[in-house]
Amino acid sequence: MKFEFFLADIFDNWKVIAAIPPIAIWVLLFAYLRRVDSRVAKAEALLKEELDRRKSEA
Amino acid sequence: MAVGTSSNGDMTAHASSALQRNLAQFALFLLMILALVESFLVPEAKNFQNPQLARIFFWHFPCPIIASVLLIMSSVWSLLYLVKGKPGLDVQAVTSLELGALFSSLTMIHGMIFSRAEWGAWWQWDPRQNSFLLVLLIIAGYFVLRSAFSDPTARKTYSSAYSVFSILPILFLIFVFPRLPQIAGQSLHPTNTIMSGQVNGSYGYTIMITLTLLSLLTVWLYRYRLKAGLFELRVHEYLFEL
Repeated sequence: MKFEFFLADIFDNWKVIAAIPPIAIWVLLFAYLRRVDSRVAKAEALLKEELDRRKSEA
Repeated sequence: MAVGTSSNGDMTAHASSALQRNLAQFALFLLMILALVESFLVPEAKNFQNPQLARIFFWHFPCPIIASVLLIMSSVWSLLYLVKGKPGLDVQAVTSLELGALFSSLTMIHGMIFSRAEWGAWWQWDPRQNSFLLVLLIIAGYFVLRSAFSDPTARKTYSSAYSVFSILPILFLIFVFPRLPQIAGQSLHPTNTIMSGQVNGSYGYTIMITLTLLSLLTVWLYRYRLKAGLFELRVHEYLFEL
């Protein structure tokens, strides 16, 4: 079976389309969570870098 | 996540925070699946063009409600920031607006899928779709304005002022404009569906489930983002003091 026919079969199924909205919610909120985590990691790295610099200066 | 841990690194707090987050994430994921299954068990809505896909409404409906609450909250926090000048209030405002933007985008995505399924096209130039697109553009303007200033005080002050004043056109576009008699007559989008009692029985029950679930998810994300924002603020203040 060719891939596009396989995809068409899947998207012909109403259950797949009706499941897209909650999946979209989950994907978007999960991506947002990752973004928040990366901001925290960046702040932590900045803090660590500054503390290390001060330690080496002292 | 290490938000809330001390700068010298409290590993126990870090591990428990990560465990707590993973558990909450897993529980919410399970609840979402249960709500999805529940939405599939509801009988089809016969008065829709595509009765099976009317189920999209269960997920579409809570998003603009949550987005509106978050946008109003952002405006209130911004006003408080302008009055009191505490940086923590700006973190609250930006947290509300980020999540408001997220739920507004979800409203638009679900609305487009619903439009394709029930009315035959992704974009109908329906007054409701157009007005919500304008809301999204106003929200995008906040983030553009925020990124335009390198000075933190100017960034917070100008973006807060924008947030305070932009709530009026946002509320007009969401609640007033689509209900004007000459606009409501042209629109395919139904208005006052819940208030007029058109959604009841198993539909009303399922909507209450998805609304509650998404509200819980929003509260959890809000608190998480707020903790992260306040941690970031503390780090910057500490580095500035150095």
